[in-house]
Amino acid sequence: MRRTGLLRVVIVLIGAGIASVEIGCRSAAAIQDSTTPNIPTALQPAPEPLRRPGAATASLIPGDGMEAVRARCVACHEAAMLLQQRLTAQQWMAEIDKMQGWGASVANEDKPQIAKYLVTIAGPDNNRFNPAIVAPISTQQPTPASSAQP
Amino acid sequence: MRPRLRVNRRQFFDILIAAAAASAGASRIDAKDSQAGIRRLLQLSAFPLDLETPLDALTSYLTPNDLFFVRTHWTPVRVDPATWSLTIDGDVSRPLTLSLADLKALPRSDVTCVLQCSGNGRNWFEPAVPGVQWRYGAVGNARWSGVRVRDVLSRAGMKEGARHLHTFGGNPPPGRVPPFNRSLELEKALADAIIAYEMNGEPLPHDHGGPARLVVPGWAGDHWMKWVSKLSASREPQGGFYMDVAYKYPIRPGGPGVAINPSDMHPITEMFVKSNITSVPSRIRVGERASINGFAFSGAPDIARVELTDDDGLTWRPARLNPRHEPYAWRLWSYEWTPSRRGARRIAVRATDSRGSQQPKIPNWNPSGYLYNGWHTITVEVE
Repeated sequence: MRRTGLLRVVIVLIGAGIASVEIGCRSAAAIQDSTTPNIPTALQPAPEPLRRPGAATASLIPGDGMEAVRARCVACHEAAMLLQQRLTAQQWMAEIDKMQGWGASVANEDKPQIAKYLVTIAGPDNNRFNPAIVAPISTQQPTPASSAQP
Repeated sequence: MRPRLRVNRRQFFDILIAAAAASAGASRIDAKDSQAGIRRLLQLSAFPLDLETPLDALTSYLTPNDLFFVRTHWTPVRVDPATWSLTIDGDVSRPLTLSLADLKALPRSDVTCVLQCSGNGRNWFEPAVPGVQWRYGAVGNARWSGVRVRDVLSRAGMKEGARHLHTFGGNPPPGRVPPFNRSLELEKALADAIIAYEMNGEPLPHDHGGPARLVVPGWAGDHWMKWVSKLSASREPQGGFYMDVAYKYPIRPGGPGVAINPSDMHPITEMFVKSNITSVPSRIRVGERASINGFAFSGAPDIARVELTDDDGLTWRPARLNPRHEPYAWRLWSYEWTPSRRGARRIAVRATDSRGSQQPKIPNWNPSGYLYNGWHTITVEVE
């Protein structure tokens, strides 16, 4: 069955009593079943089969270097994977080197800018990230004809 | 653009719990999570899919399949159970290819045990290390059903000298990223590992490695190959990035952030003893008993004791262990706490396993953030 509804989750911060935040995300069931992607237009979708259709995704924080990161990193890693890190410039550069070695199309001259941006959004003092809240996964077995990937 | 939470990460997990909770009567471990008690998962990455289970969903002996954490390196190829097959080759005299029906025709084995991602708790290491920043919930306890590895290998005829089992799965990487190929010692595989095709009585879901995955009781999740497609006996361990570099732990602890000599890094095998608090009452009052609950597990077959402290470890009092247990499964525990004074109180839990290993206050830092098992400490507000 195809399910396309958005799961709208409202988190009310109680202990601190200072903020009310909404997180819009698709349920995990929708992630599995939907054929209509819900990727924010600001994000570059990852090529199949890296991306699950309809997956809830986080948004990069605007800044110098964001476009390079979007093009070179978010193709394979959802932005949340970057936003949850707390790494130094040295650690980020090591990660960029590793990914470059594994085939990421990162030019050497772009690496300093990418590392600088990543430290800005996900440096050692980063405390901005919280996971998206999603529905339980579907445990139904796939329908072979429609779900098999090449 | 979707708004994001902007709170201090320490505040998020170390926060007043009881008095501020809006829904009186609900058990909750995180007062700021107003979804406590609602069936949900916490998504750390949409692609590849990495989901962890909230602590308040880890209160039962068996973790439901749809709430069980999900770890993937890359988006896996969906496998049709009707065409899936498992190849057994390498140092065997009769290489085999088994269909799911062939596998199910072999003697069935049921094992209830904990699966924990090696990186569970990586988020708590200081200084931080790269990787999925799992917090508490990359762990669960399930009843796995399938076929013993030794029964399959005996049909293939093991050759003299084979010491390792190379394992391969259906999660092909992109670009030049090395494949997630692993191996484990045959001694362990023959002892109690199974090829599971059911989880808690249901066909093994795709996100958990279906149609079939390895189950290696007591060992960390990196050995539990999902979408398993081939097992190959060998004299030598498998090579490659995910054996030679990743999933290694220092045999001698270094200081936080200190580089470790590669020769001191050995493959992760058994999990470390660990316990977590999963629920406390929404209101706690001076002089009234409050029931605190949680789970404990280890790479050892059982937990010997679980203890709690409200004075940062000066004194410890034992929790009551639930009698339900099977080797390498977790123990649920409960503790009746009667606070003697008001205000913010810090409660910590530690476990000791059946081999005498005890959960440390602060675990050894390691470069990839594996096997975090420090005391789980929460702060509650006593009225």
